[in-house]
Amino acid sequence: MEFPPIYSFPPLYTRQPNAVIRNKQIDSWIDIILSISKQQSLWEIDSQGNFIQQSISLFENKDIDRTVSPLFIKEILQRMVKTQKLVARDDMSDSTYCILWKNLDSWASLMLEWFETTNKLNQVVTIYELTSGDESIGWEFHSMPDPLVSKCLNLLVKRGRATMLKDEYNKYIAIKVV
Amino acid sequence: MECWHHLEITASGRPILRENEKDIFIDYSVGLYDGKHRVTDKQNGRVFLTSQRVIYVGDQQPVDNSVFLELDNIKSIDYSSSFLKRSARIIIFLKESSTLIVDSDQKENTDKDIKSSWKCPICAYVNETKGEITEGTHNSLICTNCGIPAEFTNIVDSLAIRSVKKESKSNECPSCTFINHPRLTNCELCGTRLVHSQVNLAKLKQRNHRQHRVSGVSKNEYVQLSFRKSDGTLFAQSLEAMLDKLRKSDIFNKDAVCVNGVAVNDDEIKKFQESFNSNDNLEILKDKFNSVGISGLERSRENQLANNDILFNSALSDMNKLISLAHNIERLYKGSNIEDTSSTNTQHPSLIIDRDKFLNKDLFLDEISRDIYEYAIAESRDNETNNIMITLVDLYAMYNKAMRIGTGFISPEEMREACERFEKLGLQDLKLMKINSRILCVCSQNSLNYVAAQIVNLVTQEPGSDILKINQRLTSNNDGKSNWTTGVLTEILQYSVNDGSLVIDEQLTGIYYYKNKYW
Repeated sequence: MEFPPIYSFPPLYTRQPNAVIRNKQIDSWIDIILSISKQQSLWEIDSQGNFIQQSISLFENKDIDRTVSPLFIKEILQRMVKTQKLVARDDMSDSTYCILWKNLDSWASLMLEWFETTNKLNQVVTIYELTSGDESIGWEFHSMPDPLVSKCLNLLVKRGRATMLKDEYNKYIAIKVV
Repeated sequence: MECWHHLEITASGRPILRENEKDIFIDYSVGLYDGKHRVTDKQNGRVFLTSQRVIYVGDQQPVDNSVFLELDNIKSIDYSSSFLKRSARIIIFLKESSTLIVDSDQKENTDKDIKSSWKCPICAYVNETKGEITEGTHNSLICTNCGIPAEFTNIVDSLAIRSVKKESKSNECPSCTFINHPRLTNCELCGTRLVHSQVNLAKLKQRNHRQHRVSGVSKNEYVQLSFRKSDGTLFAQSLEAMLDKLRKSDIFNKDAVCVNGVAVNDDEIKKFQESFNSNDNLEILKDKFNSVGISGLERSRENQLANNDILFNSALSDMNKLISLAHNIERLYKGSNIEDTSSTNTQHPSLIIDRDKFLNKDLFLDEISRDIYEYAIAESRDNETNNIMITLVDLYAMYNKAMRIGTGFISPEEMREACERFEKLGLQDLKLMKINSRILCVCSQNSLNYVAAQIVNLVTQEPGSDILKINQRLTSNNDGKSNWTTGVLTEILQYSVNDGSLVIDEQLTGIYYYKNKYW
């Protein structure tokens, strides 16, 4: 993992009392989170700040022995939700978030591009094929978790470019892009 | 305006007192009149009455418009109350020219300096008489040996007249004839005031000189003080009392009952004896009453102890007198050079700001404000950069401890109000500042930014410093002198953090400061 130099700056781990400075501090944290998750292809984070796929404790720096307090972590995550860098995985609860190091629109466009370049237009493609199939290796959305994929594809449906197919449990499993 | 002398004042517009001078009363909004004419640039100021002078300090441009008048020069005063538009006034009559008196004094002196010696025709004893003997003065020619008056014609052969040069250096005590060091003012042996002492003579001369100047140039024999706001009665009364006291202090042995066993004042002696007798009688009665049994023994023991106490006390006071005399002599031996340097170092007595002297709270606060200003400046005079920053709480404690003992502490509210007046009174160097909108500090104009910059600099050099380390570094940078208390430093750090120039790293062990290099 490559961290920016600010990651070893001890005041980063203390919630700054000055509001202007604190805003910038939170922005710094958001940048770190997004760049790390992009590096490591991390998609989901829980409300305590732990990544789901990999056990990386980003908010604890063992090198300089500093830890961010849980309250401040919550504040950072809430800011990310507000600026749409995070989106709740299930609409019901907000215990787990999806990290959007690209916003949903760009993901949708990227997927559309994939459909066009791989000649998958006008045929049914399963979501598994889209995110874990051999043809999508090398694309950024490879290994994207299902809840996030369906959010992106929903955008395509809204644009009128796709139709979703559900299985017997009322879960999206396939898509046809026209 | 010749009777008024130019006055030295401090930065806060208060007069510098002389040694042994005490201030007595202050009045405000006073104008000066020379004779009947108002003095144009001295119409609004404060007037101080001290034990030696009447001092006027102008409210505008106090450095140029401050003068004083010696109480010695005042003959008498007259008070006229306010009437319609005319404000209350004190008319001060000055002493008239003293040239005549001085001249006659000198003549007398020359008379005394001539001594004539003559031989008694009866017993051949050589007599010495003061003054020149001529035919006209034969009446007083009585031989001190045989007591027989001599005829001028009989002694004219042996008559020798010589002028005795008065030795200015001999400083003979008038009562015990001991010849003292010429600079002593009191006899080394018996403590009598020495008339021929150089110091006393010099003072006399000075005074005469002053009076010459006054009488020579100034045509007006009186000046006036006009009280614009107050009615001035208190000032007049205290001035009158002071003059009275001054007159009395010139009389030697004024309160003595007897000198060398000869009664000075019969009434006093009688009174004294009466009181003494009555006391005596009472004592004897008591003794008789209580002399029986153990209680009597106890009583007599108590009396003895009390007597011992009195004896000790008087012995101690004698000791003190002796020590002060010894100090005097010691200073003489050290020589005049050292004396000069030491006199510049000695602190002038400060004005005592007593609540009783002020007519209302406003005036009292004005004066307190000047006092605090002076105190704060003096406290940090060693500081090269002249940056002062004291929290009001610290200043309050320091000022009360240092200046207000014996004159009544001031309250915190008074302190704050006094400090708020700096600007109004034209005291530019200090101001009251609210840091972080909660702590009141008295500081000089740029001190906050100066210290903040210094601290940021320090933290840049050593990231992760806590307040203790910062304080130590500031102290070592300043040659071991630190003018910043921890309280002030905390506030400045807080200020810097709010400012955004510093960021904090809060740990269990404390708060560490870093320069804000990222945000």
